[in-house]
Amino acid sequence: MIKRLTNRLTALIALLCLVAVALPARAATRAAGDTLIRNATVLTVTNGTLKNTDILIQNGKIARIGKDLKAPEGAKVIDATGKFVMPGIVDCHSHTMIDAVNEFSASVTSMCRIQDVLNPTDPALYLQLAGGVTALNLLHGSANAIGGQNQVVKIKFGRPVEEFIFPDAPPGIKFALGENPKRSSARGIPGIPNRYPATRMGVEEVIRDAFTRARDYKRQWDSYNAAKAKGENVTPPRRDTQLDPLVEVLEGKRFVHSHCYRAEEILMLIGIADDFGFKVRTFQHTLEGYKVAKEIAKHGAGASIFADFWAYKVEAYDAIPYDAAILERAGVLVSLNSDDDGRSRRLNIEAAKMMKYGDVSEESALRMITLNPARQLGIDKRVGSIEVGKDADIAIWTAHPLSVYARVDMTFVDGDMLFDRATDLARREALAKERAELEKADPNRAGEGGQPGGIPRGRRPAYKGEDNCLKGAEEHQQ
Amino acid sequence: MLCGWLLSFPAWAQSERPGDVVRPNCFAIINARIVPVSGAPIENGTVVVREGLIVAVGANVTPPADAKRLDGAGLTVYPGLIDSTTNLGYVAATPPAGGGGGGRGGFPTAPSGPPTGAAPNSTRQPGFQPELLASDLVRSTGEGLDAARQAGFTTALTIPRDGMFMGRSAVINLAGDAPRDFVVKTPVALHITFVPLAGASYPSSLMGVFSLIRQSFFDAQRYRDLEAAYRKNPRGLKRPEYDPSLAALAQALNQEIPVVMYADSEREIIRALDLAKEFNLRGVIAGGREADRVADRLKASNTPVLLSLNFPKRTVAPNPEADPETLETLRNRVAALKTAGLLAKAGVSFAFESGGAAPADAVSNVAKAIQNGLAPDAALRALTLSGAELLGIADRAGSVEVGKIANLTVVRGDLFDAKRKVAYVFITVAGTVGEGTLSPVFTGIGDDASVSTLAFSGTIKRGDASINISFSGTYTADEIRGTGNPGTERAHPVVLKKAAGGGPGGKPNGPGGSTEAVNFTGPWTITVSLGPQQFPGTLTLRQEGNKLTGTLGTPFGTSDLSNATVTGDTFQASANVNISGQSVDLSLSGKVQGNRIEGTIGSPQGTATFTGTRPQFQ
Repeated sequence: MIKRLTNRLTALIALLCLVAVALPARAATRAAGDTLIRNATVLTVTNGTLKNTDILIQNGKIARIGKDLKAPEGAKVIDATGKFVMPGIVDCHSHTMIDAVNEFSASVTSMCRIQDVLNPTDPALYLQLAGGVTALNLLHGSANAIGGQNQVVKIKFGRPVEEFIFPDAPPGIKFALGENPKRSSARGIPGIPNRYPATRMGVEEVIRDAFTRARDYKRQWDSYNAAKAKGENVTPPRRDTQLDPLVEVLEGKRFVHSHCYRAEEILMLIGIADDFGFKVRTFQHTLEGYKVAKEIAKHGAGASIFADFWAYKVEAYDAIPYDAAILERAGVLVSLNSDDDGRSRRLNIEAAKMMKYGDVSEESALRMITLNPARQLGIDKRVGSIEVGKDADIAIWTAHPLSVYARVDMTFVDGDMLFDRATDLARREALAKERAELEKADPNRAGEGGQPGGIPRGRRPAYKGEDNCLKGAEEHQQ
Repeated sequence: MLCGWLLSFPAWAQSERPGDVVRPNCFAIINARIVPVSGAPIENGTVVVREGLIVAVGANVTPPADAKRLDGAGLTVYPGLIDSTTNLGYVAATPPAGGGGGGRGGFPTAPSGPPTGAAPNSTRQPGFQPELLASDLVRSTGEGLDAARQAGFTTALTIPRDGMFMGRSAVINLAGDAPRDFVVKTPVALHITFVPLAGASYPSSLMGVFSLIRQSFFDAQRYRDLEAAYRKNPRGLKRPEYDPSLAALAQALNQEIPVVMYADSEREIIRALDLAKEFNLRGVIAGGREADRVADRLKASNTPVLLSLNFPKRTVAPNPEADPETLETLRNRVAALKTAGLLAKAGVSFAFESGGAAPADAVSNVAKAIQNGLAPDAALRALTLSGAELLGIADRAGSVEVGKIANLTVVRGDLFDAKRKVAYVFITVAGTVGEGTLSPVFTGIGDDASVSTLAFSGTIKRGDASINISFSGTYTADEIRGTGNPGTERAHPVVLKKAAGGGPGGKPNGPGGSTEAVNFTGPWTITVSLGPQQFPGTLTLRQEGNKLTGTLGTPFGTSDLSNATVTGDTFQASANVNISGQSVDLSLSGKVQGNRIEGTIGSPQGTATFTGTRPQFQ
C-alpha cells in the first residue's frame, strides 16, 4: 500500500518536473529570444546595403551588425544565405485591427479614440506580417473634418493588446478635407445625415471654429490654473474631451495627419495651421501634392501617398505616379501608405513603382516605406532602419524586396519571430484537420431547414476598390 | 410524459394588509431530497416554510401541526434559481406609428421602438439615463415572468433593457401582485452596454460610445466635486445645476453601486476592465463568453462575471458564396462551453445568467457547462448562492437555510439531469375562468397521481387581461379542491371537477361546462360605448332567485337599479342618473356568459352598448 503510494508520488513529482521544465523554456523563447541571422544581404536603409552580413538580436533589439558574429549560447541561428533583410515596413495610413473606423454623426469627433476599439485578433494583421509590415498608423476614417485620435501600433500578433501600443509614439489626430468630410458621396443615403458642411468652404469653417473654441477653452483653463495657483477659491472649467486633443495640437503635442486630395485645400489647411500656430505633421494621400510641393516643404509637413491609385472619385482625377518623386525632390518627407488591409501587405511593390515611375533611388524607395513613415510618426528612434540599438523589427525576404518575386520568409517584431513561412506551411494540414473537427462540434452545426446566411461584412471575396477611409459607410448602405 | 413538478412560493411571501388575500402561510415539504447549496445535501428531509420564510430544514424536522404537507418523495428541493441578468417584468413598449424604421427599404433610421421607460426629469434622452430605476418600471404583468418561473427561476436581477446607460437594476422575486411584493433590492447596479445607436446620431460607432461614456464620467466627477464643495459652503458659490443623470453616475464613481458592463469577447472585456480602472469603478462583467482568457486580470481586479448561458451556436448554414468562417469563429463557439469550468478553476467569482436565452434553455445549458469541465456543485452554486452573493442578497436568499426567503425550486430528479423530460412544465394554466371551472385546468398531472397536495402560482388569461393567481389545495383522481385567489381579490374556495371524458389534463367541455345556474352576483367592470365614445363603468349585482339588486356606476355617479329581474342568462333593469342637473331614465338589459357580460343601455338620447368582466372566481 505504502509502496504504491510512493510510486504514485514519484510519478507525480516527475510530472511536475516536466511541467516546470517546459514552462520556463516556453517563456524563454519569447523573453530572451536571442537570434543570429547569418550571411544575409542587409538593406540597412540608413547605411547602404551590406553583403554577407550577420545580425544579432538580443532582448528584442538589434545588438550587433557585422561579419562572422558569434552566436551566444542558446541563440537561434538562421542561415540567410542568398536572402535579404530589411527593416519592418511602417504603414503610415491603416484601418486594420479596429472595430470602428468612422464616427459619422458629427463633423468634429476629436473625442473619439482609436485606442478604444483595437482588435488584436484581426487576421489581416498576420497577412501584413507576411508582407514584412511591422508597424501601423491606425487612423480614424475621413468622414469628418476633424476626426478621432490615432494609435500607432506594432503588429504583435498573438500577444495581448497592450503590447501592440507603440511605446512612446507621439499621439496624433486625423483631419480630412474635401469630398469625404463634406459627404459628397453620402448625400441622399438613408441613415446618413446630410450633415454640415456640404462644401470645402464649410470644411474650412468647421476646422477654424473648432480651433477657435479650443483656444478659448485653453484660456479658460490657463486662467483657472493661474487663479488656483494664487490660492483663490475658483471652480474648474468643465473638461471637454472634444477640445482637449485640439489644445494638444495647438501646443504642438499632437500630430495632425490630414486626409487631402486637391492642391487648394492643402494650402487652405496650411493657412489655418499658420493662423493658429501649429504644424501639419503629414498630408495623407496628397494626390495633388506635386502642384504645391514647395509650399508643403516650406510648412515642414510630410506627405504620405498612394503610389498609383487614382480616379476613383472626382477629386482623385489629377493624380500622377510622379507625385512622390516630385514631392521628395522639393524636400518633402514622403512615405507610401496603403489605407487598405490588402495593399498594406504589398507596400514593397508600391515602393518599387517609385523607382520605375519617378526614377527615385533604391534606397529612397525603401525609405518611403520604412524610415520616412517612422519619422513622420515620430518613432524613428526605434524603427525604420537596421541599426544597432534599434528595435529588432525586421523581415527576411527571399529576394530583393523591390522585386515582384520577393516573398517574406520571416518577420520579427521586438525580436520575436511572429511570422515564419515554413512554420505556416507546416501548420496548414493540422489546421485543416482542426477545422474539419470543429465543423462537426455541436455549436458549429447549423440548424436544420434554415436558409443559408448572408455574406458577412468584410468577408466578401472581391476587393471593392473604393476609398477605404469611408469604411463603415457600407454598414449604412447594406 | 411530464413527470416533474415545480413550486415557487414567493407569492406567499408578503405580509397581510387589509383587503389582502388570506393565504395559507405554512407549508412543509416532507420526504424530499434537499440540496441547500450552503451545506451538504440531505437525502431525506423536510423543509418548513412559514409566512414566506424558511423556518426549519433538516432530516429530523417534524412539520408543525398547522402546516400544509407536501409529499416530496422523489423530489429534490433546491434554492430558488437566480438569473443574474434579465429584462424581466417590463411591459412591452408600443411600436412606433408607421412601423418604425423599416419603411425605407430596411435602412435603420431610429432605434426600433420607444424605450421601456424614461426618467421624467432627465437631462438626457432615453437610453442615456443612468438614473432610470428598474424598480420604477417593473410590473407584475410584465414580460417573461411566467416562462422564467416555469423554468425554476424564482429571483432575478432585472435591468431596463434599452440604451447605453441602461439605468439601475433591481433584484426581484418572480411573483407577486405589485412591485411592492416582489422588489427585493434596489438599486443594485448601474448597467452599461457598449452598443452604438442604430441611427445617425452620436454615438454611431463604438469609438463614439467610449468617448460619450468617458465624457459622462468626467462630467459626473465634476458634478460630484462641485456638489460637495457647495454642500460644504454654499455662500458665495453658484449653485450647481441639479442633474439626476450625473448624480446616478456619481453613485457609481463613489463605488456605492457596481457597474455592470456587457462584454463577451476578450477584447470587449479588456475594454470594460480598462474603463473600470480609469474611473475606479466597481466593475462587473455581464456576458463573459471569453472571460477565461482574461481570468488573471479579472481576479487581480476582483471583478466578478455574470456568465451568460446563451452559448453561441451556428444557426444557419453558411452562404456558399462567402469565405468560410474563420477558424477563430469555429473555435470560439466550442470554447464558450468551457468558460465556466475555467473560471471556476482560476478562482474568478461568477454566477450564471440567461443572457437572453429562453429560461428553460438556460437551465439546460448548465448541463453543457458541466460536460465541459464545471463541477456540478459549482454549477448549482453559480445558479443560486453565487448569484445571491454577487447581487448582494446572500443574507436573505440563494440557499435553503433557516431564516432565508422561501424561494425554492422543487424538481423531480436532478436539476441538471439530461434525461429529465419536460420536468419544469408541471402546471400549465391557460384559458379562461368560466362558471366555476378554470379551464382547461391542469395538464401533466396524469402520471403523477401520487401527488395529493399541490400549490401553484401563475398567470392566466381572461379575455384580454392577464391575472395573477395562486392556489393551494388537494388533488384526487376526480377533483382538485382548495383555495385560490385571482389578482388582488380575496381568496375563494375553488373546486375543480375532472372534465368528462378526460383527466384533469384533458380538455374540458368548453366554456360554461359547469351545470350550475347562471349567477349575476359580483362586481362587474364594464366599458360603455356610445357612438365613437367610450367610458368606464361598474355594475354591482346581487342575485337572489330571479330577483336582482345592485348599482350602476358611471362617470355621472352611482345609482341604484330598480325593477331588476333575471330570466335565464339575461337580466333587465332600470336606473336613473343625473347628467348636468337633468334627470335621465335608463333601461338596461344584458346577458351573462361565464364571467363576461354584455348588453345595452337605453336612454331618451339613444342607445349605448356595454361589455364587461367580473374579476373574480365565482
